[in-house]
Amino acid sequence: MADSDPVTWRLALAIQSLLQTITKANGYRTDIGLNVLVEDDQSDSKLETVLPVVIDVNKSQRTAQQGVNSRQRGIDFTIESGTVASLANAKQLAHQILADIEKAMDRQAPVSSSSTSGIRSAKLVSSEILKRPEGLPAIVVQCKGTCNYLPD
Amino acid sequence: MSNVGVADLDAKIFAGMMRSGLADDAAYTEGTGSPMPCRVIVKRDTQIIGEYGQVVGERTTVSFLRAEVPTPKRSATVTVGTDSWTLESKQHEDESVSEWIVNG
Repeated sequence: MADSDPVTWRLALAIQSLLQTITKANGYRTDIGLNVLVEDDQSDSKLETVLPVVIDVNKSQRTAQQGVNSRQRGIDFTIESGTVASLANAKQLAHQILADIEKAMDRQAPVSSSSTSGIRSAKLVSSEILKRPEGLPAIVVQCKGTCNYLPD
Repeated sequence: MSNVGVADLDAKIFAGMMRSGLADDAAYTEGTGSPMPCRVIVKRDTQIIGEYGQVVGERTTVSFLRAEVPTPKRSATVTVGTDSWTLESKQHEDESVSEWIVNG
């Protein structure tokens, strides 16, 4: 992570580092942390068994809360993780991925404080197991979160 | 057209597609039962799930002649050569043909 990168990109890389800890060896249920990307990707469910986790940090807005630094902004991020699945285990795998992402994010979460900036303010706000198209041997989980930061 | 007429027409279509190489010999199996020989028409397409880490996969449908497989069932398997799929959802069915989305 280069210090010359904008703070918003450094946040993306920090979330990437956080998710890279998700391995069975570290006590999680899945190994989705083995392939975490910050650029968009496309995988073929027939050719690949380990699908990447992709982080997208996108929508920024000024924090409207009172009592926080007036320069503070919030930025939304999306974590998308897919896995190859069969008819018999697709939803089970999706719930395992979701639980692992929530666990990893919770491990970093500080005592809640709206004024906290940086990766330690990152928190998940919603998650969704995307509707699997019939016949597709894969399932995707999408988690949305937000993070506070002070612009460079 | 009577039901018999539709069935006859579909049987002729399947036979013609077999001759043209557009339909295949297959085996249909329910659970641990014995494989049932049949003919199928396999259609392959692709579909996508996700926005950022898109996953691309096949959308494959298999059509059976009901004269050969009267009531295909979810979770049964169909094998064509080295390809094998699990029946996932019925897409269309009339008097003579049953079409399924398969997973595999």
